[in-house]
Amino acid sequence: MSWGRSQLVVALDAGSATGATVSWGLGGPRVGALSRVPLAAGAVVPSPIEANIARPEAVREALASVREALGVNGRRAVLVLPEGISRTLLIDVPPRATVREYARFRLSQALPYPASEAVVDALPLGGRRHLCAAVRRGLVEAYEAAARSAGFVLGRVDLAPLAAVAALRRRTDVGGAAVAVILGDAAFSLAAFEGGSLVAFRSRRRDCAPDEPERLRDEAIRTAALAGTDAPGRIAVLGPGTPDVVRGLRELGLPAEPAWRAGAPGLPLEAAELAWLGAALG
Amino acid sequence: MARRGPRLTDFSTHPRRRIAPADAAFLLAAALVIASAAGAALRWSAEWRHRGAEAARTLVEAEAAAEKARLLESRRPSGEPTLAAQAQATAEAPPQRVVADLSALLPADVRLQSLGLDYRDRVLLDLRVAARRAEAYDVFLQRLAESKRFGDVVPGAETREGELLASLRMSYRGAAP
Repeated sequence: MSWGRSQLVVALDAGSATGATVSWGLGGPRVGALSRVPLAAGAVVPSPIEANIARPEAVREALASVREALGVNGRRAVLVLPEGISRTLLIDVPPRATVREYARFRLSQALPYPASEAVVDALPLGGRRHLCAAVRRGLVEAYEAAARSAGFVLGRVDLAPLAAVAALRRRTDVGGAAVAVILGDAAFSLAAFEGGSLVAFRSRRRDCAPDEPERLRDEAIRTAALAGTDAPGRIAVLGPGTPDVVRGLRELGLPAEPAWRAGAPGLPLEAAELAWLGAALG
Repeated sequence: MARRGPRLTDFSTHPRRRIAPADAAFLLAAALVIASAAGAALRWSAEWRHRGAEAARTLVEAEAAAEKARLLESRRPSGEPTLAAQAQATAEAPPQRVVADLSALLPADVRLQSLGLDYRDRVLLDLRVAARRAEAYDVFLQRLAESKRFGDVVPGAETREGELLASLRMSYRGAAP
């Protein structure tokens, strides 16, 4: 995949199945076509341990509708798995160490299942720094099976938070101190950037209660403190519910804004609500 | 001019093999040596003859299948509404044209193993292909996706032991825009 070329991306989360053709240029993401089909409550339940796809037939039908609407015609797709299913760790890999092996070693200490069941990979962030993640193999297989049963031909499998970080760290306007709030339907992540470099990363379960902006503000302040700064500076928000969260954070006096605005005429939702657009960057 | 994007993560349970830059350089050098060898030309020549024979065999099979379909159709009671549509589809998309259009999309490392044609109100294709490299199969899928002559492409099972074997179903649109 190269910059400027369109990539088919399919994402599953608790609330919906979404597919889009996405390309990236100097101006940011560009969404060529988009199809989103809502999922019944409980059809997909993001969790790092338990089976996620509770109603395979409902998920297959939703994905098949997305495929039909996009007219993918056999094109290979990147499948994006939702927030809340992985264990993620920001690490500096020692010299001469193999990145994946070292990531597996570090992550294995925090996994609630045998390390042999984990699929591990690492997003290079420059130098020795990597954002590593582990997902239980059985969970990935279930998502892959759902997508294949709906007729998709799969290429890569990515994780929504890692795809978001991959896109955020390449945006020049993330320079200076900033915290990104990466929302999923069931969980969210916070990424603190300093001068364009990722310096802290945390994940939490999501609760869309009326006081969500207050809790997100507190989490952003804690993440900034973890990164060694007193205040979160600017807050970039992306993922489902971005407009409401941005509004709520602004009412609390915080400089919040959507992480990006895509060139996408007629898009039925804000592009920043698609946290995984970075999956088309590879 | 497109430029290559960053390396992103892959959590596939059966990831596609990544080629490291050092490995790629080694492979490139090896390819150059092989390409300069005198036997390469002979091997390619044999390969082309083999592919030509396979294409011819596939064409014969496809024509036989179409002929059989026409024969069966002629035995059915006349006046069925689909008959005219089938006859029109056969006239507009004879097997040799379908095979020719399909062959035009096949990369050098992908060969057609079998092709089934089903003439209904449109022409349905059921084919099996073999590819030396997974990347070549990807190129074939990409060409199909971009082709105006083939639609409703539904890739089937893939096996990747040694060379890649895959089945696909699709429809033939002919010269329709």
